[in-house]
Amino acid sequence: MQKYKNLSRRQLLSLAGGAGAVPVLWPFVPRLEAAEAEAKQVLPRFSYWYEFTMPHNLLTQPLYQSEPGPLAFKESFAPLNQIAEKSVLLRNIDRLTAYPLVRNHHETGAIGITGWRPGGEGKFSTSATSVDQWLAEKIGQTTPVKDLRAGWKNVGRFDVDISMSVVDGEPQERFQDPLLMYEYIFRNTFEKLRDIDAYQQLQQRKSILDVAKSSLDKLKTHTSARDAERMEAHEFAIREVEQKINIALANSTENIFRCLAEKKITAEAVTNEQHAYPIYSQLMTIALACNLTRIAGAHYGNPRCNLHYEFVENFRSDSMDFHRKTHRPDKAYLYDVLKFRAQSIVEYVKMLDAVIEPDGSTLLDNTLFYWTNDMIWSHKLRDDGHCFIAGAKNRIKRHGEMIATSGLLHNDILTTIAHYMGETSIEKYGDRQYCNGVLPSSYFG
Amino acid sequence: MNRVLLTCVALKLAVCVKALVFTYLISLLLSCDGIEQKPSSSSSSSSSASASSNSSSSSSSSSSSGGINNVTYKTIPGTQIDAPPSCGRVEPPPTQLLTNDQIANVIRDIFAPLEIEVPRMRGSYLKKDKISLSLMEDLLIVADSVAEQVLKQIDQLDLHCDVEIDCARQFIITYGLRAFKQPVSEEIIERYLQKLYLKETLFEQGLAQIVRGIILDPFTLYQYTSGTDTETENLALSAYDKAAKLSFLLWNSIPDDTLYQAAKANKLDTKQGLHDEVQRLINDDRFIYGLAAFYRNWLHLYSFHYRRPPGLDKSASDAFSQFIFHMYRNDASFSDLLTSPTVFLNSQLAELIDHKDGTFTEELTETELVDHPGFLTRTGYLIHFSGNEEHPNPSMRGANIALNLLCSDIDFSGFDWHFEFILPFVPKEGQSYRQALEFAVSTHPICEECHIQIDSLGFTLNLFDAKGRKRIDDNGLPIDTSVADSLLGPLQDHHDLANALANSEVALQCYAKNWADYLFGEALTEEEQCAYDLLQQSVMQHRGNLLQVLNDLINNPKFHYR
Repeated sequence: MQKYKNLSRRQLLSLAGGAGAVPVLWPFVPRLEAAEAEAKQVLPRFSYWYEFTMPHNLLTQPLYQSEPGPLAFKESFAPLNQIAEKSVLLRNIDRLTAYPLVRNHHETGAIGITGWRPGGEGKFSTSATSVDQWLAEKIGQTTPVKDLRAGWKNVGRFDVDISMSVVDGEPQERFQDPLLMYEYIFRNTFEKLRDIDAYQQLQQRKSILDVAKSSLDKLKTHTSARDAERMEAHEFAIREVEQKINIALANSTENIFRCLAEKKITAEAVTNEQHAYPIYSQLMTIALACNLTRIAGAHYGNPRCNLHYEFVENFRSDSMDFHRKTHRPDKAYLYDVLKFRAQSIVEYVKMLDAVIEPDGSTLLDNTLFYWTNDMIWSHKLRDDGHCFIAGAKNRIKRHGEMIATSGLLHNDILTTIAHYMGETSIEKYGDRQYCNGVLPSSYFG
Repeated sequence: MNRVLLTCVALKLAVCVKALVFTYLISLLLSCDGIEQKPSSSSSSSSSASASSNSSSSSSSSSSSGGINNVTYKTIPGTQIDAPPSCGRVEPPPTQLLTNDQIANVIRDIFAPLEIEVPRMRGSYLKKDKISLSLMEDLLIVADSVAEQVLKQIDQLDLHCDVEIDCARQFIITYGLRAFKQPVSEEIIERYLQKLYLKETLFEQGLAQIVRGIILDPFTLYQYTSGTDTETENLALSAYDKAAKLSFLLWNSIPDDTLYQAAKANKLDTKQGLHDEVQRLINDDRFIYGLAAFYRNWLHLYSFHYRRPPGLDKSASDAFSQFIFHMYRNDASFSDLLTSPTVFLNSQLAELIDHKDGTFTEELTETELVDHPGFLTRTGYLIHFSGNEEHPNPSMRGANIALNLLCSDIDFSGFDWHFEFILPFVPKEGQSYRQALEFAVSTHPICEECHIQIDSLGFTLNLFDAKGRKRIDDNGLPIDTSVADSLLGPLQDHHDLANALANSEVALQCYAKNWADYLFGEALTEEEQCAYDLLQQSVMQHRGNLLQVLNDLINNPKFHYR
């Protein structure tokens, strides 16, 4: 039998934390490969993509067809056609309920799509939880990380400088930097979650129960019929413990590390800020693929964007922030940004689609990707809200279509997403006055 | 909180059911010699037997049809021991899942002479029917802890080998024999090596896995494992099974190496060999574990570890066990257990009961206290029936005596346990706790029905508070211990109670029944009932002298057959 040198936890941490160009997990590959392939559960996942003004229909209306039918993106959104067959665009969504407590508008009491700290934009008195975090709270801690939120640092005048999600008035932390997220996935999980010792212990316990089962089978052949029930109870207890162990193994850090090792993520790669978008996407993909979490989202909320969009040609050397540009007649710069965003989303969705799950489906098939923002009401466009959905193959049956709804309540979409994630006890999302419940199959299948 | 909980009592209904079964048994014993009399076909035990009969009982069906006097063998197959004059062959007994105490004892003895401390497990320490999920989880934790302890003492393991895998093999053979109560087959050795040892990198890790595997192995966790040889219909126990039966009875644990050697040398197949081993096991200090196990089950003293009043360590339970051990060692009868003034005290217990005569250390020392007759007046008994209160709970004490010492058939079946029936009350000014309890009971007819049968027995022990200390008053009033009990008649105090029980045939029969229950479990067939009755008769005949009963036991068919 092949033997592998055991690495102490200290050694492992030391190596995992080592920076530089060396793929940090390579030293572990032999050991990781040695571990028996654990059957991972194929669970529905949710990935939320928030853009501050995207798809802002003031800008985006010209970028796709006006009539319902096959999806056909144009110009800056043309890259999205690459994933059109696995996507659906919903229009005419009544998004009143999605925008929390907007000034001078009646209060819906709804939870917003994204959260704003109190005194946020326009000093609105809001306290809203982003939909991904809301969903994560509902689902609870079923994975090592409840939910993973990536995003830009926010430096805009809208003062959303910490988070796009507020819980009980407290802005919630998110990964403001890809490197922080990288560190969290690679190293902090060791500190906070199950460590390699625990993984080893679980494997050992599986072996012990395996032996116990064999002995029980033998014992059963020697005992009288009076013992049948007793033996069954013993067998049941073993199975129950085994099941618990299997779940723990699937969620164990080492399992995640093995997965990360296969991706060969390097510390150097994530420090390159110009690649932050794809790196975030890659980390989210890994986190979802490796069952680190079932909910991973990106909240890109920087309204100025100067710093981060320098690599967009028409933005370079222009000091005007993105939001101000949206109010200018010349939209050329903005469309360049839109193109970049569309490309980023395509890249992310393709990443999800490239991961093969244990049952042969792709990660995208099992992930509901949801792209939207909440800047609708204040721009007088409540009657034509949009959202872009990809993936969730077993639930969404109208891939490749643009669907013009008749004032579909946005809260109903979110309720439907909650059901997709298995939270079928949720009847309505947000203010019940603005929610009818789960969408009929004509939308989601 | 200084209040009494009047309960309609925290007693298990199951005990009641047992009491009803016993009623039948008492009538059986009183009406005949108990051997040749067949149980009535309408009895609960025989009806259970027919209901539970199945393919496994084919070998005994002939003897069943022939009745209990149908003698099948002149000698027990495979032995030189005369077959019992009656009863025929008995059904294969069910396997017995080890109790938490037994698991702890077994683990300690498997790895002896290593010093192993077994973590406490959840759940009842009484006999239990089936393994539970929580027990499985606890066992995994226990296994980890024990493996770690074994590795720390690895130098003390009795292994003679040069190559690591040979050492592992030897470890499995040596410690597996103890754990599984029989020699380890080559199949099991290979399974342990392949699935546990060789999967680990280092020798120590592999050994630790073997330790864990042994602890979790069903062959370790059940008492009887050889089972039925259905092909030959030879239902006589193997020598190794007999060794295990003896050791669990007398030590509440596995055989030691000497007993295994005796089994291997077929010594347990002769009367003399069996007798010698019984005597050896009784003379061993581990005999105290076997006795404690019986008393814990009989008297429901399962909460020794967590019902102790604050500040009182395990001295009380140790002193109780020591008293029982001492009495049996000295040929005590049942009545001696109830009346003997012999007490074991250490400094802590002496201080607790305010005993100032003599000097005591931390060690338990034998002494005599004439006002503390028998085990009913011991702290180790009394603390179980008073919760955390300072004052006594006569209802709990009385119920325990009625149900377990007198096998009373108090019917709690109509009692629907509900919070509203638990009436917390505080005696009024000028009212004793006894008066308060009696008043409360009398004003609640649904409670009175049961309490009237149990409280009087408890009142006789009113001199002792919750910790077994003597009280000087009852809420400022004189302590009243006199009663007119419905079962035992007029009693003035705890001395009267002890004497009445000591001289009670009903109490002795109840004691005999509990021994039979403990050793054999429920009798499900006529043959088993016969064996069961034989044991009870032995206890009655010897007035509860356990040493003499044990000698009879080795002639009991239930002891020799599966």
